[in-house]
Amino acid sequence: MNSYRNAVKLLSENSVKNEFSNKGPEHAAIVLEYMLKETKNEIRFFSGSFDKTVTTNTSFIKELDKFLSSGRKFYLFLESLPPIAEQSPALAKVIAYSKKSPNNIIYKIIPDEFVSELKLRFQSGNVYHYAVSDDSSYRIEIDKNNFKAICNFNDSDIALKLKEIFDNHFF
Amino acid sequence: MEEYSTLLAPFSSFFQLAVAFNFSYVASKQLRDSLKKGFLHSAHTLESLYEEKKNELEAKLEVLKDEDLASDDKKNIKKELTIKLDQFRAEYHNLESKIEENQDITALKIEPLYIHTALISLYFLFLGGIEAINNTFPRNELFTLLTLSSIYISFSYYLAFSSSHKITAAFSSSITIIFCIFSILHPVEIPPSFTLNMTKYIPNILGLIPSTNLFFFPYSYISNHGLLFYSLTLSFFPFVLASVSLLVINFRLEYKFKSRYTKHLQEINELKSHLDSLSETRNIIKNFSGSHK
Repeated sequence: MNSYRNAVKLLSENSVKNEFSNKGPEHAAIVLEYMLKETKNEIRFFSGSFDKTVTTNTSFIKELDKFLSSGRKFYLFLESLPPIAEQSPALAKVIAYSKKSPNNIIYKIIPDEFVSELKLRFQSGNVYHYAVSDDSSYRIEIDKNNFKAICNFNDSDIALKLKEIFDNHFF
Repeated sequence: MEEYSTLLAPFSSFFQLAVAFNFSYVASKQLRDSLKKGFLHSAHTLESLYEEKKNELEAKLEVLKDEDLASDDKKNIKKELTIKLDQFRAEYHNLESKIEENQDITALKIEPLYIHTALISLYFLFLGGIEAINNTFPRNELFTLLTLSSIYISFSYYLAFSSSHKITAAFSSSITIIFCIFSILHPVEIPPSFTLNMTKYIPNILGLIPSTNLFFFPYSYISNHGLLFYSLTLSFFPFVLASVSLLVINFRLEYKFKSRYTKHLQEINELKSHLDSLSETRNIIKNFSGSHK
């Protein structure tokens, strides 16, 4: 696991333009952790419910906590908001911080139009969860069950498109 | 002959500088390192480029673990990328050791020469004092020492570059002291000229050997100014030679490794783009449309 972490660290820190696959909850957490770490201004998440499987990872939670208290912007689009008892610790943290800094940390439930636009834009007709950091890095989850995703730490072309769709319906 | 009788004394500050420079080079590792790094700057830049690319390729191969490599094509590309990584690693280490090896020659192996030049610079200062007292330029003493010193320096350099044997600092200082004492006690008088006529040594029975001089060196043209400037040059000689050697080494290493580096990089990029083109998941990104409107 350390060698994978070191590899992701190097790719993210040096903003290496390299498209790579990412599979399994542990590897997903590592990529998301480094996306948070390398975000300069803002990060956007489109997720089901900020699921426990990935977000309970200790390093990820630690980085999320650091991010939320840093003053950088965190925008979260959720498919559904679970009841408090079923919320993941990460989601609970986001909700708590959004009360403290409502301008920087915002979470919303997706409108139907967002799903329609995603279906149109991804020519496969599927809706994929994704995270996009600043204007450069992204992680698109193409297989929810296996947490399989495509990532890149330096591809402004795709990142800007993902950001545009997100912003069209978030603000 | 020269009209000036005191030539060494006015240049005493240069000799003092040479003493200070040479001794501080021997004593200070920091000074040695900064000289080495300065002249081998491009080679070091290339070394760090190699390291960066090697680490990047390692990382790319590591994240490939999550790629579905079911097809033989993909497996072969991964294998080729791994081979490339090994080649990169080997060349990076090769470059690293070449830089170190050459630094050792120019910095450590010739270190005793800096002691030698520091001591002869001190001796030049002493001769400057003798010159001021006697009001005569110590021509023969200087000639003797310069001749001996030139032979010793050439021999030391030859050893440093061609053999693993190293002249020690103790040997270098002892031989310098012997040279100095010898040149003061038995200075060689500069002959008016040196000629080499073979007929003097070989009986010219058939008259085949030309009777003209084969070699003629007019020692009388060695002026006092010439001796003075040669002394000054010799005082800073190890610095000059080390700098020239390091520059040559730098260019040689850069030329040799840069072309290989570029070639490897090109091959790696081709392999990676081939792998990307085989990936089914990439189609999701490829078909991701630019604008909704």
